[in-house]
Amino acid sequence: MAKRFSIRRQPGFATIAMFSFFVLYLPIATLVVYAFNSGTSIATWEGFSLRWFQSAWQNQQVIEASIRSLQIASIAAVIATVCATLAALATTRTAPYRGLTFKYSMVNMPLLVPEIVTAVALLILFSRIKVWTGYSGLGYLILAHSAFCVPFAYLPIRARLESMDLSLERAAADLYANAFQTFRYVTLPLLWPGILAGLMLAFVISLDDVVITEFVKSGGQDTLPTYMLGQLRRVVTPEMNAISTVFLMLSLAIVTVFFFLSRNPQKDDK
Amino acid sequence: MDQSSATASHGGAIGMHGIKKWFGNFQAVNDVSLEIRSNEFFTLLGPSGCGKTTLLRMIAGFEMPSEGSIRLDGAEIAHLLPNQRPVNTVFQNYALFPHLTVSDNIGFGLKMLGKPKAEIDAVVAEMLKLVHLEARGNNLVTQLSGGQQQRVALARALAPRPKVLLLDEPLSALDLKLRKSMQIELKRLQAETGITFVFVTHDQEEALTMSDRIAVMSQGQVRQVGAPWEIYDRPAERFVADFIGETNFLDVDVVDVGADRARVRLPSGAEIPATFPAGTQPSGKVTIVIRPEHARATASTAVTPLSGTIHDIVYLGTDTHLHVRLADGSSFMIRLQNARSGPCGYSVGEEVGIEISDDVAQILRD
Repeated sequence: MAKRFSIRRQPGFATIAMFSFFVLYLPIATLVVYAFNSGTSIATWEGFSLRWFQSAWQNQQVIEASIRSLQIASIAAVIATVCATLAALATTRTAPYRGLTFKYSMVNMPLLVPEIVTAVALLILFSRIKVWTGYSGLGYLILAHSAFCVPFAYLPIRARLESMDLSLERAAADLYANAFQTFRYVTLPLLWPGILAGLMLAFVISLDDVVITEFVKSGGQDTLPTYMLGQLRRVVTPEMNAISTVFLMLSLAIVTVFFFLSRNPQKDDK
Repeated sequence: MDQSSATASHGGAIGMHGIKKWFGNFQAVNDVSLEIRSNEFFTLLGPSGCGKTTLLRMIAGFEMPSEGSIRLDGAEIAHLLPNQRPVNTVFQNYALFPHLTVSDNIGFGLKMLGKPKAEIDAVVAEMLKLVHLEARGNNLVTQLSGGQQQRVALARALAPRPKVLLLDEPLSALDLKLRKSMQIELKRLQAETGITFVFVTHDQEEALTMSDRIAVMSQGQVRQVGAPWEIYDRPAERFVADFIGETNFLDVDVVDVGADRARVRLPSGAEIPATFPAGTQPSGKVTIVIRPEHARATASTAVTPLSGTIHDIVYLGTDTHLHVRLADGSSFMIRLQNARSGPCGYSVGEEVGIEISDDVAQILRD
């Protein structure tokens, strides 16, 4: 029997694949390696040391920016996930009607709009509100992050809802569950992994954001990414590498959990 | 079983009147009226797309009839939500909750009804015993085999003691052996629980095996309702006769009509008695059906009402089918039961007479 076409057997496949991985990960690997440099250069290796991790740990500005980042990311992720869950339920648990696709596109719009446009728009809007209300706290950043995180949280939740067997909810209704009980005892438990996955994705996206944060933040509201951006304009030490490395590890951990949560549960059957 | 239900009449009679259902321009159910009796095993039988599942879903409450009324023990239920009806469903794909254990699946209905935990536990234990899954209560349903999942689905639907149990082709996913044993199991459960079963299937054998009464459906309409023997031996029209089992159609002339029997003249000139559907007055040219097992081949062709030449012999293990070419060129099938081992004793090309048992011919409605 003739073997079916497979790109894996084409000449040069392995070489190109290896090269691609190399190019993708070399910069990150370099960054991580130089986080352990004992010298002050980010290009000349002078020996192994943890001094930059230590110095970052003792840098008051780094600590404050980190706490702020985590604060914003946690609150924004929760708000975005709640909104996304409601949106996903509304767009999947209904008979198709005119305008459904439009609503679906509206939810996903922030993925397509250039971030800089959103950033400028929010800057203008929020500056108005600041003038009217006099409030200039973290609320603006949280609101902005919540907004652009919604589509990221929405995607895994919607995917999970769509793969769910509708006859389960029908069976619950058949077994005397009202609409709320059906959601509470059947839909929600089965949706839970999707919701957690959405939450984590939103968290990582928020933690990572530079452009919108840079535009929306007031003075003294640096998040870790914007603080690092500010530092890069001055002197660059391996301290930046050390902070980045910690960041990288945190993101990796979350993405790993996300991966395991978003695996299709049907595959575990039998 | 639960004592109150064993003694008291359980109810569960369904009356459907003038049910119509449109999906857009497509009419799935066209003016169906049915009376399903309390404590009966009632089957909706028909080919796919005949409207039987739609009818079932309307009793369950997943669909609303476009027109008509559905009554349960006299009370109108057509407008009620599924969770407001004392009716439970065994789904075709079982629809078991994958995040719950076997026990929690079975207890789900009672929990939603707000029953105390002690009562739920007692009923769940009783149900597990009823479907022979005592040892599996704490398993997740995904760890069970297809046949076991089927029994959990059954127990889950029976646990709240519904007045009516709806079964939507629940055996279609099982292999033949398992299906046979589940057929007997279902019949037993129906007798033990005294609950009205409404069973949907496209499998005529399944319907004949289990049902007290069968409604044969086609193109959104009920063609005939009756006991299995009535559906099989006294089909009212060609569709029913054709859909259930194998049969011979003969064009005949009505000679004389009595109160419940008519005399018809076969193409050969012989006259035999034939029954006809109630409420009809056969006359002129009609079609009769004769089941292949109601006819016998004989060596002598002198006195038999039909005769012809064997053109095909099909051996089936339990039976042998003789296909006989009649004088008018049509083919007539005879089923011989293989009571003895060895060849049937007939050969292709042989001239045979066909004897017809008394009172087996049935005149079809036009």
